[in-house]
Amino acid sequence: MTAVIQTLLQVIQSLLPQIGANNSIVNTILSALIQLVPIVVSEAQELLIPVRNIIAALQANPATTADQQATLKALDAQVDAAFEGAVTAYLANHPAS
Amino acid sequence: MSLLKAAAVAGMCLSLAACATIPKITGAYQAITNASIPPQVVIVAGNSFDAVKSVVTSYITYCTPSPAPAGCSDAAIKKAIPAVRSGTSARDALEEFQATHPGTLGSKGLYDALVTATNTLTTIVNQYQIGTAK
Repeated sequence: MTAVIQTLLQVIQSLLPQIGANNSIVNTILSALIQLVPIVVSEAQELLIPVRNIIAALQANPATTADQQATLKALDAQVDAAFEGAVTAYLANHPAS
Repeated sequence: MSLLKAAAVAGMCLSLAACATIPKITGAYQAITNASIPPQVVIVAGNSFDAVKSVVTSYITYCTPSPAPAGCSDAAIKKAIPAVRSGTSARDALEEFQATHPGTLGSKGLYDALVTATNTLTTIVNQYQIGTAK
């Protein structure tokens, strides 16, 4: 699973330089990220950094609209929440520790 | 004030030049502690923190089953949790500042908090060999 997601992220990263003023590519990448982020958060935390880097690259792109920025911010928060989710699950399984 | 302390202060200010130096040193100290950090440096520090946070998150997920798999340390996790939280707060505040003040310098205090959290986590990762537990 991780290898498949990693390949998809590499494809997305290769698209980043082509965005320019083409806002439809941002939408395409956002659609893919919306599908991928929950899987990365729950099953492939080692890929959180590339995901966060893609989000940051899109946030910095002037072609990104306000709505897209809001979606990116929500995705970023979802990625960042992976740690607290992991801590909650750990403490639930190790209550005496 | 004890005689020794009074003597020490008097000794420092025996010459006018020495007395004039003290405010300069104080000013230099304040300049260092109140200094601002360029956006690029903030980005690098944020990425470093995110990298080590990702390692710790993976480790906690790996160690979640009970009983915990081999190589897991509850002590390491308990030490890492507050460091990750303080680092995340500092990083978020720095990124928020950058978003609202593009191109301007960020707070050195927040930057130091972020670097301290990253260093603490790196020490924990190395001490407990967190990166090798899988």
